Amino acid sequence: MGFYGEFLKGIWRENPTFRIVLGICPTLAISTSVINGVGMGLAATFVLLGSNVFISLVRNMIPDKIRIPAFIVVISTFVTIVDLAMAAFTPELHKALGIFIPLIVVNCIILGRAEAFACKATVWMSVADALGMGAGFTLALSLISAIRELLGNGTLLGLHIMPSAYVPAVIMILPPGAFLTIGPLLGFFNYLSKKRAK
Amino acid sequence: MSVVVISLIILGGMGLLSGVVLAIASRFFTVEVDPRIEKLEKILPGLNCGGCGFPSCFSYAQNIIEKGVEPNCCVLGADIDKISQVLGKAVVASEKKTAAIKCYGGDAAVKEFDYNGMPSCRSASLYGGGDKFCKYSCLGFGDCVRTCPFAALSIVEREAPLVNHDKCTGCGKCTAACPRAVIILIPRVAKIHLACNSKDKGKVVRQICELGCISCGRCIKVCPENALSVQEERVAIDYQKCTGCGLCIEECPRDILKDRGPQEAAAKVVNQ
Amino acid sequence: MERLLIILLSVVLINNFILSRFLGLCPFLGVSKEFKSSLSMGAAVIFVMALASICTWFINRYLLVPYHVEFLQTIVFILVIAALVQFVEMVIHKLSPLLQRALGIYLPLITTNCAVLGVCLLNVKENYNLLETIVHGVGGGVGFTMAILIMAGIRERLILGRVPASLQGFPISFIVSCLLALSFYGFQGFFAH
Repeated sequence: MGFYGEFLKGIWRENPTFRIVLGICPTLAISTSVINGVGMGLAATFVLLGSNVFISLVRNMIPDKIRIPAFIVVISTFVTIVDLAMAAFTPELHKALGIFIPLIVVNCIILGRAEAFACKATVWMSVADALGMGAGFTLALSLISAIRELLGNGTLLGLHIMPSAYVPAVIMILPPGAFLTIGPLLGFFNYLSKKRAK
Repeated sequence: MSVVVISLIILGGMGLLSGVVLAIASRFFTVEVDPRIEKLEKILPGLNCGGCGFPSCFSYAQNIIEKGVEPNCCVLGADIDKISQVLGKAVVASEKKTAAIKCYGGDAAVKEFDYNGMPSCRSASLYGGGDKFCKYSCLGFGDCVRTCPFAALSIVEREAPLVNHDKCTGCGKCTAACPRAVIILIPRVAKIHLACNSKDKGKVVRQICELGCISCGRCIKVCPENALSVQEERVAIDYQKCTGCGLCIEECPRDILKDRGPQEAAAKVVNQ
Repeated sequence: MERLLIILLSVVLINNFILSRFLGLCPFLGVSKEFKSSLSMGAAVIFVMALASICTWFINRYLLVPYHVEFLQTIVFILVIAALVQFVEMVIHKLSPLLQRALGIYLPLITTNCAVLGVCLLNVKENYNLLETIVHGVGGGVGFTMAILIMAGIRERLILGRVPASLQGFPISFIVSCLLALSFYGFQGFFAH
């Protein structure tokens, strides 16, 4: 499968949020507004890219027994870089995302891709996979955040979209609303993929 | 000292310390594993079905070596000769069993009330002993079907389940799941089987179920081998004596005794 | 004393790790199919959270803060947690076969659990002293266990229900979690006068 194929795989067929159901913790916690969602998606993509490339570069040098701790050290380094960069350049976003930036370390998507893909593939393919998965994750986050922000706040990207007669369903931006959004969405994507399979 | 040097020292130091501690710990805390356990584990099928009574093949192998459990409990038929070789002693194969249903009541068992609760046998049996007058009947919600790891059982709701004897390994999970002991294990070579689970007196059974055994005793009189006798108000078959001649089946006025030949064939057709 | 009680109650009921903070969702959805395995998982989580909180508190207080290298928190904490869990697993395997059978397979799963790293980072963010850290760690585990046990109980009965094909599995579990989270949301304002 070529570069383009690997990239597209991460967006639709193996979307990390809706198909493989990984990385649900930050997805639900962050998605209260589209800006937060996109910000987290981009941060995770950066870490994913960095760790995939680095691990793919040194894949033949890491002994098998200490594979996982080595991956974790690499990933946490990139996460610290992102954390410090966001604190410096985008302080509001940094405050909004809170402890979920350091928690990108234990995001199953990143460790999962390193384990399942990057340690066995070439650097170029790892880049494709990282970009694809990152894009898929960001798109999923944007979708969920858009629904939650629109219904829960009446806004989208900070602009008032809903008519003034609309009373926002505040529950949508609270924790129960997160579960309520992702449940039916997952069901919908299951239904779509079943129809495709037929 | 610059931040870079401090970071290097702290991270490097912690990494080194963790490595050393874990290396020492792995020396002191190793658990001695008998190599025979691994050999046994390779002989066993590795499906972790639980039929032997242990949660996994590894656990069974461990218990054979460490606790002296009988080595012939594998229902899937692990190679007995190879096991004998590893253990250094002769092992006798155990009798193969299969599941059999002791109630074909279904609609024939008279209903006492309407049950609208959870579609589970265990649940239904908690409500006044189930919605049939016969408190030993099959409730037909399929708890046994759900626990079978080999997909050997199938059911139409509220009727008795059907056993696919080709797939059934006699692991016994269904017998544990049934709250009324309607499904039991009988020797695979058994030729005849009594399909009534009730422990009520014959005249009570006559009133509450069209298909229940009424203990008339005609089958007992006609059996040439004396393999039938009355136990707990019902007729019981001694499989050591039964030759499968089928005289009892012809004699039974209610068609309770079942010949296992055609039953197997019928089950095969249904499960295809 | 009152402060400790407030911390405990808030982390178990009001800011429940799973239903309010979204930490530890992967094991919550993965392990909550059976009541018994959920109990084992919960016990393992309480154990690891308590130990990890204590260790990382000491390291932060006496190593990272005095030398002004707080930015190393993420890396150092995760390393400590991974090494700690590995060590504890070896000790349990050797010393207590009973515990090994109960918790053994769940310990490696907890290493990369957001809940454990999350509780360590929260301890630092809230500036707890040692006793408060311990209470927070144990309380977090207790809250996690409570949520996962309730979920396991519901899911065991959900198998018997008639769920539409597309919603089976994760989607219906999420919708059930929504209802659970709603009911726990009622605890907000618990300490308001």
